[in-house]
Amino acid sequence: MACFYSVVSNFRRPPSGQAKTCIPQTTMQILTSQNLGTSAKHINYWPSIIGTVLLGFGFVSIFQACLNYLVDTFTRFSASAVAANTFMRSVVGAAFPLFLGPMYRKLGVNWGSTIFGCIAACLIPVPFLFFIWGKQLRAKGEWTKFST
Amino acid sequence: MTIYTSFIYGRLENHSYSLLCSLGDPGILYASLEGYKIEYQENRGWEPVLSSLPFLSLLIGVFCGAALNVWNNRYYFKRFKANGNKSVPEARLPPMMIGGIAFTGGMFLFGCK
Repeated sequence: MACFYSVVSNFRRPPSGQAKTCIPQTTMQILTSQNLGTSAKHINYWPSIIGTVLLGFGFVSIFQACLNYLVDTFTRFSASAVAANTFMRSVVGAAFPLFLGPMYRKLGVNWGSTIFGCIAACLIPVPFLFFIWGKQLRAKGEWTKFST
Repeated sequence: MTIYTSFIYGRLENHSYSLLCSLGDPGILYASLEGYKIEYQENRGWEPVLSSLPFLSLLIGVFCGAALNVWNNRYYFKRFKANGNKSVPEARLPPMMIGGIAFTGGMFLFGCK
């Protein structure tokens, strides 16, 4: 992003001998005076937006795969399984935003997101474990052995 | 966040099956919804309407996730037919593997500068 702004300042260079001194001045002006209306030091917001796209993608794929797996596992009792899942999800969804405002404000968005990212990273191997040992787990369950 | 919860429907003490509930993923997502507001409105000082636009990127990600599940159905049908027209629950899991990694990556991308 910095080179973009320096290119913009080059186009606005006045045709005189003062050009060389104007370039760093114009770059600093553009860099510091945001046309977004803030004087914050964060200029590049595109990584956050791309991260959001990945977040939505991951969430939907995980959620749908999980629900499909639940329905397939508990064949006759899938309604109860989905109901239990929805209940716990609602509880978590109600509880999390309560402490997130203070958490994000105190720690900063960086560290707050890092915490959640580490929690999510610890849970990456879960679908792989279920892929490997799913059949055995289902055979041992009381309500799930009808799906094997 | 994915945690193993015992399926306690029916009040039985027989915790014979650990049910996989992807609870934390919606939890973390609801968490980051509030984080978006703090990030874009307070930290960067955008106007309120402008700071709500990053949710559109969430929508784009959701569409991509839906497309992934449509594509996974083909794989599931192959396993379904190979199993003699009986359901194969494990074949529903590949999107979760991809989604888990994407979710973590997105979280780190969103937070870190």
